[in-house]
Amino acid sequence: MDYRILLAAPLAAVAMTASSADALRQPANWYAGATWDWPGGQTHEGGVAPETDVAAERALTVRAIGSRKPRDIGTIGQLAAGYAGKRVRFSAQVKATGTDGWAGLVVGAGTMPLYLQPGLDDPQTPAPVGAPACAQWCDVSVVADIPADSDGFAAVGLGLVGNGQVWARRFRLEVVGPDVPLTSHRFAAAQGAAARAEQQAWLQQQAAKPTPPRNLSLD
Amino acid sequence: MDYRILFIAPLAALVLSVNSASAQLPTGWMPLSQAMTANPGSAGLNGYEIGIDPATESSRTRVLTVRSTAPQIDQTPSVGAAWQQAYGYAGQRVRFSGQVRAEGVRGWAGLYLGAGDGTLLSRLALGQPGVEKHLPTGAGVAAGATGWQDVSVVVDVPAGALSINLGLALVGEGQVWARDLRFETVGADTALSTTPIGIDWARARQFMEQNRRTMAKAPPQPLLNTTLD
Repeated sequence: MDYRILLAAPLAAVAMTASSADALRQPANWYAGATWDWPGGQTHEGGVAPETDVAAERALTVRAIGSRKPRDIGTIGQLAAGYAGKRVRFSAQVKATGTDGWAGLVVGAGTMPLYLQPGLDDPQTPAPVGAPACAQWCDVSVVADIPADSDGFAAVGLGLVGNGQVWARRFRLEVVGPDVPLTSHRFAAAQGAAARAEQQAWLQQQAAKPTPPRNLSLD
Repeated sequence: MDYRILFIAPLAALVLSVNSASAQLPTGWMPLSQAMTANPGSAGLNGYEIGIDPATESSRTRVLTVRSTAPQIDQTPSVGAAWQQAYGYAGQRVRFSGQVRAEGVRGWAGLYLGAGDGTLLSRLALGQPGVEKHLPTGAGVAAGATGWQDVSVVVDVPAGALSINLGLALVGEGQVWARDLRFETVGADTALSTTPIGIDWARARQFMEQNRRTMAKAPPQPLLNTTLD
């Protein structure tokens, strides 16, 4: 496995435009992204669920591409500005099937896409939190504080860890009072830690012997 | 006002472009396109072309190039690069050298080398906290110079550095080319380079902080396109 690709992929994926050949339609202002496995490529895809695209009520979906590792994450979401120092509630109807990890709604702070946030372990940014989907449509909400000293962006969306598929519809984002309890479940915390540990172990292994840059002759 | 626009550039700045430019890159090389363009809708994604100069594609000596493709804003640095990682050189003195030429550069262009991962230049051009402690070293094309120049960067890789990042970089607008690249360990008698890469991280940090303050005052923006059109 060439981890040079893996190390670069999280940033490449920030392009969020899913430059790979997504089969799902990308709705305006929503951005899908996923982790990247070598050599298979993007681990999940997100967009409008095709079976709902002609219905009266559309739904977003995130689904695994092929067989995914437990640490692989896919999300689709958007950034909403103006929430510095505010407690927000993101809610929707959500359902999931075939999951072996976690699926549900997610809220984070800042402009980093949700699927990247668990792997960052940035002490300056609170960890993203999530509330799980049900087997059938159910109402789900996530409550989080957006730090007062931040840029005020709330990153909200739909997330899937591992295999399966998740759907969401009827989205709402609102400011709530301090009496509304915060969501405590950290989104993909274990997966983020595992990815960091795996990356560090690989780096240690690589650093044990000189590995020069490749193809300086530009062939 | 759509306040998202103000942050498109910083967000796009995190992009390691996987656009069509990457198709021109030789095996082993990665593209970085972090362009703060006058049109924020295209920031980052289309600000640089990076790869083998098409004019040299079939020649015996292929040439790597980075070229800006869109007007950039002046308030914060843009950077495009073709880069690589190397591992296992902690505690050693290494040299990265080659022939470089540039045209129309408004900023800095040349070879660079520094301890760090693939995010090294991206974080620097965003002025992220702590970047000034480990600035990559650069060997730039001299101002006003024409034609090919021999340049080299010599650094001591810090003990404990798991990886180093090196490549051809263009800061700002213009075009830079490189050929005859070499990487080697050298002895203690080889003089160290002392000039950092020409990325104004302080200006970038100021720009980002101004953006943050502006954004913090923004009124709450509703979700967009909840009907998923």
